[in-house]
Amino acid sequence: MGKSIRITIDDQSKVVADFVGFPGEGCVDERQRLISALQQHGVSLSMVARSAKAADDSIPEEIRREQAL
Amino acid sequence: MSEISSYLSTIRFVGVQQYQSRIEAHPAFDILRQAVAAAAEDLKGNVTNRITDAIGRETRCTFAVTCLDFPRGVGVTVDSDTGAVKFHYDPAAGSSVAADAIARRIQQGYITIAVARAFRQLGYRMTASEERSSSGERTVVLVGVA
Repeated sequence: MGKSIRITIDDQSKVVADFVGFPGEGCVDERQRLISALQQHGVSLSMVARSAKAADDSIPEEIRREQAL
Repeated sequence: MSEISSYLSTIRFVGVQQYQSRIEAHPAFDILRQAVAAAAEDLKGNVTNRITDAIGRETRCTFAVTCLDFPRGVGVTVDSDTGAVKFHYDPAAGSSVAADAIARRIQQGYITIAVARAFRQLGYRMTASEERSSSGERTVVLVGVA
């Protein structure tokens, strides 16, 4: 599955970033890269909430089933 | 692992002390210029460099946006010590709601351009779209694909 980041910016400039398809801790690294890149462009982000997805869609269903056994 | 995270955002020019007398040379200045121009165009307003208070006194700013809803203008400056981008207007000079809307539009536009540049820098292909709530509030959606 491909990796993607979906970012929404509301009219109060609250930013929500949805990291999809990053294996392991990859989304943590990618989040940090994104925050650093934005800082270079003059945007400082302060995290207010974070949640891991219930169903990790970066891992195929059959592997998740094996892991659960 | 996949995750969703949410953030409060502020605009702050990094390393502004190196650009004291020539803030327009700062790499982020071009983003601010574009965001101000886009906001003025959206609001059918104009870009100037001064705002006027309720009794007609003028204050110079880096940029200002005037429009029909707030003709005395919302100013934009960059703090020379902290790099923070600040918005200025006289609340007695018109509708604060209208002035806030101009400031919010500039900030949202700035962050949109910055995210687009960050995606390009990190090697993502990006698509952009907009959603509007029933009350007309705009949300920008940017999707970067590696």
